[in-house]
Amino acid sequence: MVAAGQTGVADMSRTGTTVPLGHQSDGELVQEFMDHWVALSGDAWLALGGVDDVRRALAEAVSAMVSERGHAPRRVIAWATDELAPLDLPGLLASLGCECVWWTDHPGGADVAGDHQDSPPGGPADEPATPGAALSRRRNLAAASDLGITTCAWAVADTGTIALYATPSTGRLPSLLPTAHVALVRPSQIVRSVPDGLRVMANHGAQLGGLPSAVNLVSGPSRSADIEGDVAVGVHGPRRAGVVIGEW
Amino acid sequence: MPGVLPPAGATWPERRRRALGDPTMRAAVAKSTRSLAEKKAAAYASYPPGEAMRAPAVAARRSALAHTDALLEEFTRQVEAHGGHVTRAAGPVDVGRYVLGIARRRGAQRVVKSKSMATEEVALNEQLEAAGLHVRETDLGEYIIQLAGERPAHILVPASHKTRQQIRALFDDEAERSKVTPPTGDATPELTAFARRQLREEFLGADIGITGGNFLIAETGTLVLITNEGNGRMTTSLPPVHIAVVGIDKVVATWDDLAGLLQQPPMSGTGQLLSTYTSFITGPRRSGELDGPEEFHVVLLDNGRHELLGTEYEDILTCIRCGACLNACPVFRTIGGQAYGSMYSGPIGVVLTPLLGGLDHAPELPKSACAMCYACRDACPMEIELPRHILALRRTEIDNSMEPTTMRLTFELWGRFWANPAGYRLTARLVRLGQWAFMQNGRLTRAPGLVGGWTATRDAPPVAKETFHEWWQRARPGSRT
Amino acid sequence: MTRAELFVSCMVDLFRPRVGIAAVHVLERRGVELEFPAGQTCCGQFAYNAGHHREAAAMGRQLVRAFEGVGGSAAESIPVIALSGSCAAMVKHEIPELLERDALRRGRAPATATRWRQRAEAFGGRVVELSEWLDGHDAPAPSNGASSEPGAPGPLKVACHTGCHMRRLLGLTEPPLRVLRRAGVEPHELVDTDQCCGFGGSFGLIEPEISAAMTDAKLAQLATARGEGATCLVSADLGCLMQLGGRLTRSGDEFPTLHLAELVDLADQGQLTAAEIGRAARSQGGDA
Repeated sequence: MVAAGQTGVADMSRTGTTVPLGHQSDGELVQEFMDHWVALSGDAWLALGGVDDVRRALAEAVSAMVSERGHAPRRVIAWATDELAPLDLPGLLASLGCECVWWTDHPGGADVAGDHQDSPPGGPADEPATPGAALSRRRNLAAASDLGITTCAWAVADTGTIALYATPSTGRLPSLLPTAHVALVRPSQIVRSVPDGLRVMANHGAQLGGLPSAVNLVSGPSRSADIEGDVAVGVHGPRRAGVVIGEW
Repeated sequence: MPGVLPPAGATWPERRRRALGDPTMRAAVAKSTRSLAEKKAAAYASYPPGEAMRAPAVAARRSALAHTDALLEEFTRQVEAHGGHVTRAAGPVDVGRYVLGIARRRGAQRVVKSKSMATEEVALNEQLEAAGLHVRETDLGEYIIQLAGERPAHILVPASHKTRQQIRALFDDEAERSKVTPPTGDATPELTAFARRQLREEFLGADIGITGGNFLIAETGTLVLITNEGNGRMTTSLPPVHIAVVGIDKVVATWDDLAGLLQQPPMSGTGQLLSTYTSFITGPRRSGELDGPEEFHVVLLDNGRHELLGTEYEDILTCIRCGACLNACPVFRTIGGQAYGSMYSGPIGVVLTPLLGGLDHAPELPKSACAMCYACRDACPMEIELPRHILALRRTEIDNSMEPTTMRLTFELWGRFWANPAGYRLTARLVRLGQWAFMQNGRLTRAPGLVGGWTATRDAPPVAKETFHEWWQRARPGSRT
Repeated sequence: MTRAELFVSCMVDLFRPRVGIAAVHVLERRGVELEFPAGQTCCGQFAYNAGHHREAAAMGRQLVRAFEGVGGSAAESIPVIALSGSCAAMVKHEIPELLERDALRRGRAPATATRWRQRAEAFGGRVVELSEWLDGHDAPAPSNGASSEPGAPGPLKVACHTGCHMRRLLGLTEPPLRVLRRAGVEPHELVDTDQCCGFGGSFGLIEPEISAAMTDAKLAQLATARGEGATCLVSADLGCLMQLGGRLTRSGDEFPTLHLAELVDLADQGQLTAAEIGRAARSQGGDA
C-alpha cells in the first residue's frame, strides 16, 4: 500500500502538482514536450480526459512496455506516493497480468519473495534482519523488474525532459534499474525551458528547506554513441522510457 | 604548485609515426569529428535560446574565477551541512590516499567508475589496482579502452578511433576471460547488450562508485553530472559510497550561473539540447530514503589549477570539456587523440597539458600539434583564447631556451637581416646564387636547415630571377618609393 | 584617380612576383595610381607564430616605417592594398600589441611603447586585402573571358580555397568568390572548405609529415572538384598555394594553381583559357 513520509519529512513529490510560476497548462507546451520526448526514442501517451483516460493510457503504456518479456507474472515497481492513489495501480496492473510492488522499506512482503530468484537465502518470507539486507533485497527486486512507474516534479517542453526527485516517498532505482520506465506527467508541470524548470526547483527547495538529495533530469531512454558514432538506446539505464500525460 | 600528469608513454616521434601510419584510426577520427562538429552547428542553429544563454554564462564564469577560493569554501560548508564530506587534494598522491583510506575503512574491494578526466589525470585506477582493488570503467567508450589497455582518443568519445570489429574482438576476449556468453554479432544492439549485461553485474556488486563532476554549485553544495548512458546514475545510486573527484575549476557560484551553462556541454559536445541524464546530487541519501549512497565525498583536485588563477591563462579554467575544439582542429583530425600522449588532447590538450604538467612534460605539443588556424577559437563555446595561449607557450619555450640551437640561430639571423631592406634584398641575392644546387626541374626539391622541413614533403619555388622589388625598380623607375 | 600603396608580402616578392605584377595591372586598369614603398620587407608573421617575438617585432617596426613614407604618417587616408590575407591579418591584429610589448621589453618608456602601438594601428587601419578592395570597388573588368555567344560553354569552373587567417581573422569568405564571379568564372569551394591546408607557418617546417597529411586531405577534396570540371585552384593567399602546389608537383601533378590577382588579370585581358591558365601557373616572374 501507499506508505509516504514515514519520517515526517514532507512528501516532495506532492509539490510537483502545482507550478508556482502561475503557469497555465498550455497545449503547445504539451505537444512540444511530446515531440522532443518521442524524437529521443521515448514513448508518449496523451490522456487529457481525466482519471479514467489516464488509467486507459497507462494500461496501454504498461502493455507496450512489458510485452517484450515473455514470462508472467510481469513485475512492476512503483513509487509509493499519495499522488498515484487515485489511479488504483494494483487493480490496473493485476488486470494486465502484472504484479504491482510499491517501492517501500520492504517491497512486496510475502507476495514477491517466493518466486524471486534473487531473494536472500533462508526464509524468504521473513522480514530481512538488517537495513543492509533490506536495501540489497530492494535493489535486486528493482533489477529484476520489468517496469518502474513514477510521477515527476516538473517537465521541460524545449528538451523533452522530466525531473525526478529522490525523497523518502520516491526513490532513485524505480526509474533506473527496471527494463522500462513510465512517468506520469501533468500538463501543468510542463515549463518552456530548462532555466524555467530550475526556477521551479528552486521554489520547491525554498518551500521545503532545501533541495532533494538527488534530482535526475531524464530526457528519453538511455543512449550512447560510442560504437562508431552509431546511436545505441538502452545502454545501462532503461531500454524504454515512456510518459503518460494527463491530469487525474 | 605545478601539477603532475601521467607520462606520455612513448616519444613524440613514435606517437606521430603510429598515428600517421594508422589509416583505420584516421578514417574513424575524421568521421566522428566531422559528425560532431555538424551536430553542434545544427543544435545551436535549431535552438537560439542556447546561444542567447551562452554569452552571459561565459561572462559570469570568468568573473567568478576571482572568487574561486571563497566559492570552494561555501561549497564545502553546504556539502557538509547535508552530511557529505569534502577534501582538498593537491595532486595524485592526495587523491589516492583519500580514496584508499575510505576503501580500507569499509573493506571495499570492487569499484565502478563513471567517466572522469580528473581521475585519469591522477592515474587513480592504477593507484587503486596497485592496492588490490578491482576497478571497472562503466562509460561504454571508457569500458572499451579499458579492455584494450589504451588511453582515451577523444575527451568525449574516448573509443571513437575503434571500429565495431575491433570492439567485438575486445568483447569476445572479455567474454572468454569472464566465462560468459560473447556478443552474438558486431551490430550496435548486440555489442551494447553485452556491455549492459557485464556492467550491470559490476554496478550491483560494487562497494564504491567514483565519478567526476561537470560543475559544482557553491550555493547549495550540489554536484552536477552530465551523462547519457545511465552509468552515472548507476554509479551514484547503487554503491554505498559515492566519491566524486572534481577539479577546483568546476565551481560556479549560484543556480542562476549554472542555468546558462548547463546546456552548453551537450549542445557543443554532441549536438543534444540536454544530455539524456543530468544529475544534481546534494549530499548522501537522507533519513527515510530507500536507496542511494550512505556516504558522499567530493575530492577537490588542484593539480596545477590554482596557480593559473590571475594569470593570462586563467580562462582555460572555464573549459567545460565539450570537445568542440577537438572536432574543429585539423591537426586532431589528422593524428587522433592518442598521439598527444595526454588525457587532454586536441587544442585544449595542447594548452592544458603543459600548464598542468609543466612545459617540459610535453614540450612538443605547442609547436608540433598546432597549425595556428584559429578553428578552435571559433569553436569554443567558452570563448577561450586557445591560439593566443599556444603562441604564448611557444614564446615561453623560446624564452626558456627550449629550442634547438640551430633553430634559434636561424631565426636570430633571419630577423636581423630582414628587419632592414638592404639585408632583406641581400639574402634574396645570396639564396639566388646558391639555390641551383638544390633544384630539379625548376623547383627546390631539397634544402638545408629549416627549409629542409618544407622540401621533405613538398616542392618549393626558387627565389625568382627578378623579385617584385627589382621589377618595380625597372618597370616603374619614376615612381615615388 | 585613386591613390593606393601596395603591400605585396615577402612570399610574393621573392617566390612569385608574377602575382604582384598582375595585381599592379589589375589595379591600374581600375584607375588606381599605385605606389610601392620599397622599404617593405616582411610582416614577421612566420617568426611571430613560431614564438620568436623579438625578431617579429623588428620586422614589424620596419614595415610600419616603410608605409609611413618620407613625410611621416601623413598618408592616413591612402589605402594599403595587401596581396596576402594572412599578412593583412598579422598587420591589423597582432603587430600593434607586439610592437608595444616589445618596446617595453627593450626598456623603452611606456609612452614610446604606446606610440609604437598607435603607429601600427594607423598603418593597420589603412590595410585592405586585395579581394576585399576589388569587391568594394565594383568596377567591372574592362573585358572578361566569359563569352556571351549562343552555344558558348558556360563560365570556367575554378576551385577556390580561402586561407585560415583570411577566413577567421579577417572574416573574408565571400569577397574572393564575388570577385571571381565578376571576373567571369564559376568558383567552387572544396568540401570541408574550412579545414586548414596544412601550411601552418613554422609548424609546416618542423612537422612536414603531419602538414603533408593535412594537405593530402585537401587535395583529395580537390580531386573531387577536378572530377566535376575545375580547371585550376585559386586562392588569395600565396602561402596556401605554395603548400598545395608544392605537394601536387612533388607527386608529379602539374594541376595549375593561381593567385586571385593572376586570374583576374587574365580575365581582364580576355585570356581565360585552360592554355593561358596553365602558362601563367607555370611562370614565376613578369616577363618569363
